[in-house]
Amino acid sequence: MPKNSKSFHAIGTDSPRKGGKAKVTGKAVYAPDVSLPGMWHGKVLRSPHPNATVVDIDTSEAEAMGAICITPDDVPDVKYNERTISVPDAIYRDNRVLTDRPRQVGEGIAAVAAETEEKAERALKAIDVTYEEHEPVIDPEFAVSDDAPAIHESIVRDGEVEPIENNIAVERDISVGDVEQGFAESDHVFEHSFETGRTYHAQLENKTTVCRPEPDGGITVWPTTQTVHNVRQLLGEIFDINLSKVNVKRLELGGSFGSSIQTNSVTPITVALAMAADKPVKIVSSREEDMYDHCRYPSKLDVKIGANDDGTLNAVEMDVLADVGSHNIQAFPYLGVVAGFTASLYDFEHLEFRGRAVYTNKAPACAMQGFGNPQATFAVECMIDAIAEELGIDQLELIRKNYVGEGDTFWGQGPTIKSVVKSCGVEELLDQGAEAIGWDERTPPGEKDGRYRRGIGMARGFHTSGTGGPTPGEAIDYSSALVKINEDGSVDVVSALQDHGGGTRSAGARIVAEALDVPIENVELSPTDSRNTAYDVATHATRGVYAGGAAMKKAAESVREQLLENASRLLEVPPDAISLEADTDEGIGRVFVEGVPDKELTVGEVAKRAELNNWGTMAAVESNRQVACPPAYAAQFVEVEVDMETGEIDILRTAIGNDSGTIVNPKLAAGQQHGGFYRGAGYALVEDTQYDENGAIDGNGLLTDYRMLTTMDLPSNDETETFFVETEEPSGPFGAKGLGEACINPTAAAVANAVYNATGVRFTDIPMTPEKIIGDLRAEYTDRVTGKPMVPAEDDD
Amino acid sequence: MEYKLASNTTTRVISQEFDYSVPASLEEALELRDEHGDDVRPLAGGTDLLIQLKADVRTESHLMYVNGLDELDDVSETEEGLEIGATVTYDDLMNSSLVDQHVPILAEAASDAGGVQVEKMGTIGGNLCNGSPAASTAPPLLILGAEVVLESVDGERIVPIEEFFTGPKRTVLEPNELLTSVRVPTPASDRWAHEEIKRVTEDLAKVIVSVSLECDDGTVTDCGIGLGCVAPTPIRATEAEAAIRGEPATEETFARAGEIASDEISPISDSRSTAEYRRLITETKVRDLLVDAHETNV
Repeated sequence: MPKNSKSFHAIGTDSPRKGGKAKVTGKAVYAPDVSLPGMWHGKVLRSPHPNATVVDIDTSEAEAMGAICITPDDVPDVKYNERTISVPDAIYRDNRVLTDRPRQVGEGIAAVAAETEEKAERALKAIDVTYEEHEPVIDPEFAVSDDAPAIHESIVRDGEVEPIENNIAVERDISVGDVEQGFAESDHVFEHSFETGRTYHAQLENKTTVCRPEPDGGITVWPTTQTVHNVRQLLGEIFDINLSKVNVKRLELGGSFGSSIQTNSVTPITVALAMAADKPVKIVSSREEDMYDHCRYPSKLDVKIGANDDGTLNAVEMDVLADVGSHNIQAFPYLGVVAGFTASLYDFEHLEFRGRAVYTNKAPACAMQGFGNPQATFAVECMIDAIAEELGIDQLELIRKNYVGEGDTFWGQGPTIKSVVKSCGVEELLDQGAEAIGWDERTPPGEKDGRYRRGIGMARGFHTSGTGGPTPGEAIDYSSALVKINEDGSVDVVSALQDHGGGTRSAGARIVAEALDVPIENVELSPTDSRNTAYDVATHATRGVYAGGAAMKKAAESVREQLLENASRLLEVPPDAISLEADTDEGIGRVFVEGVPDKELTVGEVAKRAELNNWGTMAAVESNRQVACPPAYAAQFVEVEVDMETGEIDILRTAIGNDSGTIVNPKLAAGQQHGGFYRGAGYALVEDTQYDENGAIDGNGLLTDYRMLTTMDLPSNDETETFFVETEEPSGPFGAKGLGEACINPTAAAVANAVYNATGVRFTDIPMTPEKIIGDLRAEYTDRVTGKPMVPAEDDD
Repeated sequence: MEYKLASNTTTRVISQEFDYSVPASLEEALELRDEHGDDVRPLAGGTDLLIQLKADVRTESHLMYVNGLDELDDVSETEEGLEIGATVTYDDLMNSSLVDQHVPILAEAASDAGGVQVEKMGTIGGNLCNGSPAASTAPPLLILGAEVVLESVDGERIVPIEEFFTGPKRTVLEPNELLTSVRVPTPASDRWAHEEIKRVTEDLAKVIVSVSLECDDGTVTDCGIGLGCVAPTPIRATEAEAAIRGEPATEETFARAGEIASDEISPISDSRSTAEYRRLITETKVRDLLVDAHETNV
């Protein structure tokens, strides 16, 4: 029963988010809040060396202190990949619960549990480990050379042992058409190289797990995670426990940015410790441990685009070298999506993609907000700006001429998932953004002078709403939900769907309220775990509302049919004659026959009388796979001011536009826009983890030296215009698409393009720190006082 | 100090065992210091010390909490200017009407020292005794000609702040002494400027620049240039200062001060910036800030 947005009573309204009060009053329970009777505290002994073999571990002194210790000999000899949402063929297994062959600083060697955290810490220090150190491999270019030592000799994929050569974790080549022909037919071929940083997720919640061994041989686990079901499956596999005895509790999640799609490394360690101790055990990672645990895929991208004089983009060639760090968590899908996102930005007839992902002795890269899209979009959208300038075509015009939009085939997440775009607000995004920033008043870089130069830039992008499609792809993508109507007419939604903090579950409640025509206040989200819910893949890939919400909608629609059936029996009219309406003033769902005043009940009355009549509970559980992953489009416009003498870049104003179909939670959605822009601007300007030659993070992995932009560094709300172009996506719940990751994907390119517009210098290596850019800026600038050209001094080293 | 947080250590708990004393008076604190010397470490705001202990990059067997001592937490007016107790916090400096009236540059420096938590906890005495080249209050105190009062059971000695720092994390403080207050003369001129150059607004500095300027009839009669994070200790750019005294107060003169200052520093590369950038930015910012100070309406 299609509705238009005018008749929504729950979707698009600004009622408080579900669970918001618990959060702001400190009552919400996150993994670090979990404390159990008799619980011990665990600590992980981590390698101080980036590349080593453990020769000996002596735990006797720690054990004499009363601690329980585990070493690589005490954990199951199972090789796994902590991320399990791909099909077996796409999962590269190279990891273990604890290792005697550490491949990065910070890798877990042993673990201890003791009654208090302090005792555990002291016991940890009493463990004596003898290492044989190997030469570390820090630079990915060196990693693939013949001189580099092997980081992994072999891995396991789909049950088969595969050798690793030249530290190449994955190679992936994807080709469409004939790129050489495409270039030959183009009037111009443009080439640039780009480099992106090793961003740390810096999620608020440090990774935590509590595990309680159960008397029946099972375990109950309270982890930091985006997916209770995948944690359950992996723990069942590693520890050989029936899944029916592995219960993983869904808790509030203190942010993630993609860092908890995989089972966190502390989770199996905690389980092993708890089983060894036969006690509940809790491990809370420190921030320093966390910084050595995960990061974004840093990449070098060499891009070549062939274009005609009229702006038609014919062909793209992209070479990607990604640095995966110590473990290959998801480099195969990463390379696939970089290709897919590139193919789906513009309608290239010819595409040639060559991707290599390389092991190094650094923290393992994994998914992070935008997964491959910030990298691809940064490169492509900077190219688009450069091409527009070279061809003398307005950048917006060039985009309009070439973007993948309604009716076009869209690659979604990689080459195996294709669908046709059914909703697209790109034109409106460009128009409204241009209006907001004053695009028409933009002047070229050649007209700027003086020390402080202002420039306007923009970039466009999108993210997929989930990873679904008409055919099964490389990644599993479906959700499940149970919806039931209680005897007073209130509604329980029982789902494993996780919420990172963006309001995903709250959006789900609105969707259920809308589908059942009951007030949003009458719908609540039940506490859930892996044992009382059907499978939900994970809240990732901007799929929470579009895919998770769709499963809830499907269950709610099934319950709606039951409601109409029961009402039909009570009101003695056919189900089709019955109308449902949310009475938000009275806080009830009304069930009535139009034009017949005495034929009216509330949803609660129907439910209670159904119970008294022993007709059963109105409830349904549904699983749902979305048959598309439609693009949630984004466009961002930025004005910057650059200090030509210091290299400091100040973002003055921004206009952030998104087409996410129907907006379900308006205020939270605007929050996503601000948040995505913040992290995107940080990606462009400051965020990075650099390693020294000894495999240690510069600044020693203290958060003090991992700087992120805050409200003090970015435009005020007055200077930040956020807007939505509300298209209606036919495959989405009530027309909704995804949102979250779309908000970061174009930001770095928009900032870099604005810096170019201000200075005439194109920076292609992010983050663009003042240290990196000052030389090129000063070369463009003559000192206003002395009249002499300002060039960088020689370094003291 | 070499940080090496391979993560066998964490910043969650202090796992070292140590004695803890809470002296009731300055006299008692000095006696403890006399008895234990460097084996007892004064703890004020703890914004440096506690982190170092949690990270296990230093070991202490005995902490002595000095924040509760009435003798140390006051800002008072003297004939020459102000006497600021060692445990006066950044937040106190930012909100003190006396500081605002006599040495507003110090309030400005305090506001750059850290986030709200650091402002509420960190103290001027701790900032100086920690001996960091990045001490936020040091560059302004250097150009103000401040002195520190070092007390022991044997009495007190007054040390010019320029002589207080001897190297990274090193000062002239003797094992039996406590820094009890900072004496800050009121400057003759209201022309000053101060800036911490950082990666983001809330950060430790790459470079700290404090300047003061006295002019008479278009001529620089005196000036101060205090710098942080560009040498083993906070320093004054004395050569640059000398070079522009008596010179016309023009942008050219100030630019020359920047050039000379950038030559007399010895910056290093670390996680916050590079030696090269620190030199460039020192040159630019010394000039910029002298221009700002000159343009101040006085």
